[in-house]
Amino acid sequence: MSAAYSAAKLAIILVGLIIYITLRRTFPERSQPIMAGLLLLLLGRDLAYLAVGAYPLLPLGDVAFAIVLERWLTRKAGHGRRLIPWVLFSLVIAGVGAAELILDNGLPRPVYLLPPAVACAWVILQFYDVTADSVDNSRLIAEVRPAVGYGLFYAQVALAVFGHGSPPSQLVVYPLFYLIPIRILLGYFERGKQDSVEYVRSIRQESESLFSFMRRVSASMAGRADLETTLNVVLSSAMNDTGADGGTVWLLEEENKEEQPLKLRALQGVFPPPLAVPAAVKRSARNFERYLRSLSIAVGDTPIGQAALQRVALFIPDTVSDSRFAANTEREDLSYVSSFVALPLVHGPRVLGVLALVKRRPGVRFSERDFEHLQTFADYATLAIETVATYLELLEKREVERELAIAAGIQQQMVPEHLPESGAAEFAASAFPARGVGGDYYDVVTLNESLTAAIICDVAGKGLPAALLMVMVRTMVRFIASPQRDSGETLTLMNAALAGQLADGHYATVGLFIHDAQAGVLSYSNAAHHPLLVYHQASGRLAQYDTEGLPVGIEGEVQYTSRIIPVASNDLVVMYTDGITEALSPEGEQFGSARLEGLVRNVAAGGAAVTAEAVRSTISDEVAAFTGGARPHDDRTLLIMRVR
Amino acid sequence: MAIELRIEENHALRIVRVFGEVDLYHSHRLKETITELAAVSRSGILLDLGAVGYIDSSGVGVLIFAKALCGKKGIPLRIINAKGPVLRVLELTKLTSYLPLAESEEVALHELERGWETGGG
Repeated sequence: MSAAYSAAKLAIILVGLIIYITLRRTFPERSQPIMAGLLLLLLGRDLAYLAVGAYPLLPLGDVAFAIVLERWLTRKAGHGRRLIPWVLFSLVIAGVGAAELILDNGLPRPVYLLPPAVACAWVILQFYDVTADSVDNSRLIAEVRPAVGYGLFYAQVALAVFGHGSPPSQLVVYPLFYLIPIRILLGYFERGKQDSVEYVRSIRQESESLFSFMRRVSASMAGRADLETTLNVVLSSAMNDTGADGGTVWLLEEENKEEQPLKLRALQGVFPPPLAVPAAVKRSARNFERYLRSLSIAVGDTPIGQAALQRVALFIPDTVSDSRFAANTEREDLSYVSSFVALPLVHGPRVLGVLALVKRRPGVRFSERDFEHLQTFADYATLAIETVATYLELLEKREVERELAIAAGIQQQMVPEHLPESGAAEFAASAFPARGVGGDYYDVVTLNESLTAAIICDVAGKGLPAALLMVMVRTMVRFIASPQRDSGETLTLMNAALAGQLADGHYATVGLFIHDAQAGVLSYSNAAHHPLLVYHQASGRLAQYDTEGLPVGIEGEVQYTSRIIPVASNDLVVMYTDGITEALSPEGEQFGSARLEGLVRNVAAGGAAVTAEAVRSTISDEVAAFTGGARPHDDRTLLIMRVR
Repeated sequence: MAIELRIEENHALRIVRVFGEVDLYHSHRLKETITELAAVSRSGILLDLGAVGYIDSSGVGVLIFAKALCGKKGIPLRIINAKGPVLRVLELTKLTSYLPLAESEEVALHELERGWETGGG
């Protein structure tokens, strides 16, 4: 080996070192220990070769170079399992090299060519196995891999042709190796510059995508607000922003009740759930979708349920290495998933549900940046979902309430202004409507000089249909009630007339009595209303009277019966609706019929001096005191008659 | 407190499990659900009221509506687990024998199955 040759080699090595040190000085924050290690490795190899001159040092150095390079790649690309065979392989090579050194060139030269050639080919393949959009470092890898690939390839070809020790190899081929780490370092610097530009751009993109999302949500609400539309806007925005192939929104049926399962509320694209799907389902996309829509996921089950339970976003960039996706690895299958993200939708202390996205192309993954974006996005999405849900609840209430207001007007007009007075009986009545309206109605109609009919009625439901039914009942009573019919016949006719007319499910409970002053009796019939209370002064007994029969408006064929109740002077007859007995105290206790009956007994003990109005006002006042003056949740209606 | 409806499928039968309050503000959801189910199911509907804490007259109206609708369409209907305040309301309105109440889910299922065999409800 000539001195000039050695000097040339040293000069090349020095140039490499100077370039490296300059780069490190210029961009200290970008110095890469692995790249420095690679350069030092090359330096060591060449210096050792210069000093010792043993051939096996060169191929051994190449193998070591390939191994370190692959280590760098696996670290950057995020899959590190392939290194181990190469550690073993390099140990074998090291053993062969050591034996070679000891035995001093006992083996033919081609043997040395093989290990570095295989190692380099392996590294090249690894570099080209990284897909363009799968990892954050993939752009750097894509940029430097032509240099790495061609560099290693041509170096190995040249070494095979010229041999390790020949001057062309020593002066041209080996120095080429130095260029590889230097190219990678340059790639870093380039990326560093681009990264800061891109960071600004990504922040802008992020805010733009969130703004556009909020705009889309508001637009969807301006039309006809519904949760489904909002969830779909959430989903399509999230999928657009991250290039997902499928997405779902799962919501807890009742917010924050974790014993309840998550139900699919929105689905776009193809979304294979992270669980084993029956084979029959996988045959068609339609079946698959139907299966998914019927699926419930318990909180804590599968990565989706896990995200809801732990309230932590879950990111599985590569499903291959995750046991939870064991059922999603078949590439040709509908259930294939390559990358997965699940984001809990958390609003304050409550979990609303989970947003889950998948990519399902081999090697295609969500990036760290996608994940970060989605975490911010999930906050906004939760807010949007929550707002729409609250708004809808409000809207629903308001619609009902507007209708109630109209119905209240109708009801108010139907309350009799004056109750008829007769020499035979006096009446007192009051209706205290619940929050402006209820379904109660009462009326007193004089049929002739002896007969007076009194009716109390509680119409099911509230609002317009209920008010209309009330109007019908009122009309019917006035139309049908006559001196020729007893109370049962009146109810039977009224029911027959109403039953066909009402929308399904509308009905009324009706209590009706006709007071016959001459005979001194009541004819009483009841269509499932509260029983009639009569206080008989003579015996000092409070009696309850009832008859069989369904509420009116349900079945046209019902025959209501009458019951004849003898009444005497100063007897008290009490009719009332649910609102009285179901009035609640602040502690949640019901007023109850026993309390009502006790009250009637007490008041009635006053005998002849007790007026109907006194009974009415006593009951009203007691109920009001019992509830602490709270507004009733149901109408409180009272109708009292005192026989004169 | 809102209403929650869970629909289960037992062969061709649909079981609607009702949770919460069937009142003026929420009963329409049960009504809609029954209407939807009655449009697709011919084999029977089972209404489970076991988890209903409160029912008002609108809710009772929906039960009557369900009976009327199913009767019209020839769909067997059973109401199960009416108890506590729900049963009390049905008793007060004298609807316990009018509505197709069944003692238990097993009895209801048995009755519905027998109904299929004999071709009636």
